[in-house]
Amino acid sequence: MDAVAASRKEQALWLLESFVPDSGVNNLSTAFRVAGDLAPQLLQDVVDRLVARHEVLRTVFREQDGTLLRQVLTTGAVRVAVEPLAPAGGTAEDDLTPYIARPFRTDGSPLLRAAHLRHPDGDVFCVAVHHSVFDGASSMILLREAATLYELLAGGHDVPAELAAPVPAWTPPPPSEASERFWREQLDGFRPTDLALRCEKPGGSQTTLLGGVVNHELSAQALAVVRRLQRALRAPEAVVLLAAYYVLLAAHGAGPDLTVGSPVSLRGQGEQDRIGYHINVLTLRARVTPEESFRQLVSATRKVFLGAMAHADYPVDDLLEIVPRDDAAWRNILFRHVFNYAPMAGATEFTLTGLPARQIVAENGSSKFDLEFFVSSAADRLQVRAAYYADVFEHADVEALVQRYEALLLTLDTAHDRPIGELRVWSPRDTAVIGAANATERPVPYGSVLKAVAAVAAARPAATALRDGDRDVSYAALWTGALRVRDDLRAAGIGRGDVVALAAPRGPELAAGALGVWLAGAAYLPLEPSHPASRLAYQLQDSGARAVLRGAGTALDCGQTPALTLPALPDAADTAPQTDAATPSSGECAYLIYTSGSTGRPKGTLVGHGALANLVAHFADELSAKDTDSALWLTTFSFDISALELFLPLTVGGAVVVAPDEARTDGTALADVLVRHDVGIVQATPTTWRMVLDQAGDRLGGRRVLSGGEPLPLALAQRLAATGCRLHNVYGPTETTIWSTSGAVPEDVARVDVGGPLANTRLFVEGRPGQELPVGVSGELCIAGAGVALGYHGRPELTAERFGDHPEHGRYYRTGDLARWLPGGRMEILGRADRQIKLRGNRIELGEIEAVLLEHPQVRGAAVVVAGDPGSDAVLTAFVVVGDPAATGTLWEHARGTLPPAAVPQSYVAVESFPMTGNNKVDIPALTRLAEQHRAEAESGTDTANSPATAPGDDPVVDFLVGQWEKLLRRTDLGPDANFFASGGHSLLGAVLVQRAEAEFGVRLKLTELFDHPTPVALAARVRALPPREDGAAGA
Amino acid sequence: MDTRNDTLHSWKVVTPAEGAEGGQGGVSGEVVVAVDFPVTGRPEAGFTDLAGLLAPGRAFWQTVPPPVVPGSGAGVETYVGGWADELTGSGLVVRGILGFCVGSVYAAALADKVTAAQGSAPALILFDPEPATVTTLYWQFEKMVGNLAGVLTDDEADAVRRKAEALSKADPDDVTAFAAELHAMFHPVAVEAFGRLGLDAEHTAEVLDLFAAFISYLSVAGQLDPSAAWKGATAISSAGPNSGLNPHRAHPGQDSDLVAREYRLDVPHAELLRSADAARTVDELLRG
Repeated sequence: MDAVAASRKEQALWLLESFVPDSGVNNLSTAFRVAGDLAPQLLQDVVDRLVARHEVLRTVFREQDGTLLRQVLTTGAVRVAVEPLAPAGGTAEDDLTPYIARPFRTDGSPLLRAAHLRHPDGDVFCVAVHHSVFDGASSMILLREAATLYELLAGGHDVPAELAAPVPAWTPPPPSEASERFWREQLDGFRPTDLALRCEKPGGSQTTLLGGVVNHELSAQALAVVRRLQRALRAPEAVVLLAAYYVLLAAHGAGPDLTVGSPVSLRGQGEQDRIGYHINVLTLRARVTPEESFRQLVSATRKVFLGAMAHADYPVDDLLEIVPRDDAAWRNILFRHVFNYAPMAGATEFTLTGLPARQIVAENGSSKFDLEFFVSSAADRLQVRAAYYADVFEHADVEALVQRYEALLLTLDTAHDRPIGELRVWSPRDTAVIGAANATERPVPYGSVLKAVAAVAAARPAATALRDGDRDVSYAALWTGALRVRDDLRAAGIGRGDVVALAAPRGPELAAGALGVWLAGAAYLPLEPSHPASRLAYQLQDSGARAVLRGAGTALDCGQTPALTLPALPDAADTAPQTDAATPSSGECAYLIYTSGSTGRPKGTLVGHGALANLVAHFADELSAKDTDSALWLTTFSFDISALELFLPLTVGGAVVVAPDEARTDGTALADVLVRHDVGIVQATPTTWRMVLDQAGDRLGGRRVLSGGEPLPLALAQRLAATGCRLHNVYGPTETTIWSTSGAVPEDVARVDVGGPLANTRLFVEGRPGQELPVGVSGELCIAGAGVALGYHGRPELTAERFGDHPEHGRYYRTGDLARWLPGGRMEILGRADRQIKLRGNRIELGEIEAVLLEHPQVRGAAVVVAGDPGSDAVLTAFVVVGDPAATGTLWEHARGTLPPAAVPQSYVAVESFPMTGNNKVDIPALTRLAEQHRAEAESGTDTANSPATAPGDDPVVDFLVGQWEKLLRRTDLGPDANFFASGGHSLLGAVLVQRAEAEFGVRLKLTELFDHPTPVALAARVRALPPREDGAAGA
Repeated sequence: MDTRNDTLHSWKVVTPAEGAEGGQGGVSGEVVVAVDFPVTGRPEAGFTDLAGLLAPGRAFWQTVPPPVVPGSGAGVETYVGGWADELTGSGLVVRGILGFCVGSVYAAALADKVTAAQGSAPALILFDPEPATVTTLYWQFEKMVGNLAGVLTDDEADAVRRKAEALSKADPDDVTAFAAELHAMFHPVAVEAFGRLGLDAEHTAEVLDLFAAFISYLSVAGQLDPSAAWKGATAISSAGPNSGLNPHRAHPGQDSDLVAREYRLDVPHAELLRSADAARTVDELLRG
């Protein structure tokens, strides 16, 4: 028969395989097993007869001159030999998968093959067929005919005419215009960008289409609910189950404008026995509105479902062109999730030559959709088969999805008239895991740190409280100093509710100062004298500090604020001082600390005594801190975590060891102080750990180590853990008091998390406002409990924006960090919510890129920022601290090997170190400004190190050129970075410009130099680099 | 840095291959080449943009079109012959040949030569392929005259347009002749107008040489018939309504039948070679 061009539907199947060759993604199968032997000769006879009877099984495809052609071969031209297949040790299903997955080709070869597997559980007969000539319904037809033929032939019977007559290949009638109109209207305005679930794996650099399957039978209870909902909501079972599938997807972050694919057979009344590719996958679009009830969604879904069924004749592939594509080229863009519903196939068990036989369903090992729910319905059961694309989901994620689907159905029994947004789509496991993690209530042994220290000072006045170099200071001396501070403050009229700034180096006087401020009933504001004067002045003014307590040698411009000097501590005091002073209540403010926001002015967070007490008591417990212990006071006091280093030992009667500043950057200095004072507990940021590890690493063994303040990269975690220390990764914003989570990091750490919530702390992950997400689904981390700060000082609007009141968890803080619960009840931080960006339609997590760069052996630090408009011309710039600057050149390739293309930074800049915020965190806004500048310079080809100032007005050459740009292009909005050609210039205008520049600057410029340096700033650099023109003044 | 290889004259090495020395060879032994008339600084993205987005591992070369004047007798061989000789002489296996706009016409001819020389066909991938017709050339010229508003007087521009239109009708099928006549007609007008701007002879010549080379590149392609090769090629189309295959569709919204298959991306013509989707598509097509 003549070859004809393949339909678009058929082309689409084969196209997918051209993107992922050898995947077997379109291979289907029919198979059955008997409890006994099958006769090879009879099987061959069956196959021969099937191939002879069904034209469609003789259909082949071939490519000719770039066109895909379909052709039906004559009976004699196709010979499919039944292959003997040896068992491979698995179930029959497992053994068949590689056989089914073997690819078919568009080279004119047959699109089916048959095998005889001699499996220990009984012989299996399997036919693998390509989807372009086959579908799910075909599978049942072929099974029935094969079994009937085998039975007849085995018994020596004649094959009746109805099983011998040739069946011509059937083509469904062409779609109606009404259907085309229907589908165009259905999909009008649809954007495929909101279909991703928030539990997907990050995109890989390769497309594999590898698939997996989760099978689950819904409980009798869920079955009963579905049947009740069907009656209560007056909708077909398929519609109820589909609407629940929409809710499930929306609960995982998809939508609200959602599409789901749903395959439907095109066979009409008389065509039920046709084998072939006779399905369309309908695109069922619905909007899941959180305010609406499930009843309303079911009603809308019913309309969508029935409308789609009435227009099922229009093939999905013809719709692809009307939806804008901004995802991977191979991917179906109309939907990523499929819902399939069918009555449970009847005759899956039968007898063959007297032996029990049953159909077996084997997989091809691939999946072309992210997720497919296939619900099989029988009177007494509902079976869900969830097939998934393994590059997108982990097996456990899909198991969880299925569990939540069941839990959702159970919830809907009574909740179908409640707003969908209020439904908690959690499985019992989610509830158990998160509930157990959040069961953190326990008594705090003291209402304030001050009270705890007072108790120690009373009980053990002679014990050493602080060690500063060679100087040991007793608790008695410390307390005596604190009392002096209190008295000085009182004398100055300072008392309850006031704020007192502390500006002094870490040491016994500063410690006494902090306690003294508390004794006076005030809160302290820690200042770092080395910070810029304007920042300090702002903090003093904004906080309304009543006084500054300065260290004896500390220079600080206090402006209008009265300055007091911290008194020196008595040399030797070991008798119990008076410690029965009034102590603050847990709700009073202990300290006020400023952090720089990512935008705008620094904000002061007010932290209460109860919150600090809870934090310190938690770590005393977690780190088993004892009165024989010492902890290192390493961090600058203006960073809140410093308070833990100071107060943790003081509350347990241990010693604070004051570290010199250089111990934060110099491993040798750190190692010295650790060893000299046998420090048991040491805390630092990953930035510090990275710098000191080479020299101090071998001194960490056996010590309790905290790392926090920034994400802990895996490589660093492994190096730290390998030192033999007891490593804890801690996490928390200033607004929830220093740390809110902590987790031990084992030596064999493979993935870094931040552990679980501290004592009296509850975590929840929020999707949409009010939507609490289950395990594995990412959203904004919110923290409730004892650590939540009092609020921002003098910023009620900001306080109201960031702090909330939860009906169940109480007062909480929105961290702005993306996070998810891990299956064991620990928390994984995925980066700042504002560091997850959309770049030209692709969702990109900047922290993930940094993690990949850090895997490069030469990279010690990485920070990735976006420069430009993310909608159009933005580029990703990676700043890196590298051991060998030459390694920078290899980073693109390194990144390219792991990251999806859209996430590969275009530009790599080696820096000595990163600009830091006051809290010793990488200053992302500063890097972004640097990237913008770099980008302009890169575009113009100037060398960074030698580039002249580029601000308008700074550079006469640039100014002249900008003027010429504007004159020639007749614009007034151009700057030093304006690309001449992108701003409307062309070669001739360029030549004029070049000539004017020559005249002005007395150099010889070629037009091509403007092509290579098309911005004023770049051309200016070029002009400067040129020798003066030999003929003196310029031409013309 | 000038990445042009010392021994290459008609190609510019955009990406040297991994393990390559001087832009040739490399561990994969494969090269992907692109045909275009690249003018640095033009508003349209170029193959240098695309090359940066492709999967690593293969060398990437781009054509350097010869500086030819229309009517000088330069023909197809001046272009394709030069490119093919250096390419096949390199010993590299050509994995893919890419073309942009009219470059797609040359790409088709180059693919034939490469296939004959290496015994296997490279993938032919065309970005907004444009046939080299009198209409195409006229349209490009018209665009250029539009750009010269303010340089040419209104009268000059009108006259040039009228003459160009008349010339296009006189030789509706002979692009080469049209180009030569266009060049001859425009040259004196341009010299006078550029003089009025104060442009000296040296700079006038620079601009006109560029113009001549571009017109020549557009017109010599007209001597080639790429239709057979295009039938086996893959097109990657922008959304620009006047670009590539878009004005030539039998039915709006349908894939073109001029090529074997077409990927249509929702990006403007000028952004096509900067598009991550385009790069991904090329990577997929070159895979395996």
